[in-house]
Amino acid sequence: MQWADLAQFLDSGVAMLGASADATGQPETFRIWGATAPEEGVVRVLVSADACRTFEQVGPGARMALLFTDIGTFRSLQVKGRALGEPRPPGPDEMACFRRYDELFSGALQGIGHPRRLATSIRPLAVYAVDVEVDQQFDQTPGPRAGLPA
Amino acid sequence: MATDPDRIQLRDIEGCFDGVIPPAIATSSAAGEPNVTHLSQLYVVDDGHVGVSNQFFGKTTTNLAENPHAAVLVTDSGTYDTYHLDLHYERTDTEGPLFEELKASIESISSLMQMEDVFALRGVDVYRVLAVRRIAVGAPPS
Repeated sequence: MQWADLAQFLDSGVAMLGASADATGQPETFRIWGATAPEEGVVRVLVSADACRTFEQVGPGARMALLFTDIGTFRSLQVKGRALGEPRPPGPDEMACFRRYDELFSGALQGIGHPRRLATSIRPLAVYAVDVEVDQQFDQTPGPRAGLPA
Repeated sequence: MATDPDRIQLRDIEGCFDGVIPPAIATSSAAGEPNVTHLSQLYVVDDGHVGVSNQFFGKTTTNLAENPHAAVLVTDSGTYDTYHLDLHYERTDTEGPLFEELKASIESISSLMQMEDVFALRGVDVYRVLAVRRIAVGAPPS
């Protein structure tokens, strides 16, 4: 996916999930509540503060997987890359992203028949911002191309 | 699973296993490369095991062959509580009662979605549940 298209996809209310793995190989998966593409090749994600194992081990160079899915069409993209730094508390721009995503994703959930309460129930209590330098993209849309490079 | 009364039991979170809210599963390669993908549904096999329909898990299957650890994030459709499950892959069933039960369920779901060809069941991956953790969520945006 071209970078401009990815940035647009991230700003369209898609479902967002992430994963990391610790040194023993135990993975953790977590919600992401907002993401942007601040520069070519970098995705900034707002990771649920509940991802405790991830925050224990994610630092510069740690591998992360990020999954973005249009819940109306099932179009899905997984990107993988390395964290560029330590997780940090969100600044004003990132909290604006959090609120915008909250509105967009809540609308998307209601668009497929879920009540607004679902979005408010799964919204993270808090988030940390993590920048990920993307080096791989995979089409994750169900079907014969699933898992192939995007 | 152990009988610790404070431990969350699978039977207490039945709404996680009805397929209303699709779960996600994470795995990792032996080299530590994580992967995450959506599931159509998570199934209870018994008090200590869950099953996952394997339809198109290319990378998930590859990772499990190298590293049996997995993790699932799943939301209860009744309470909207979210849970994180640490899992250990044990086997894949390609026949038998569990496979047939899930095959019928998958065919029903895929028919509703008009994606019968896409969602053909290849096997049922069975995992031992190592831990269940409730995710703290729900605060208003600040």
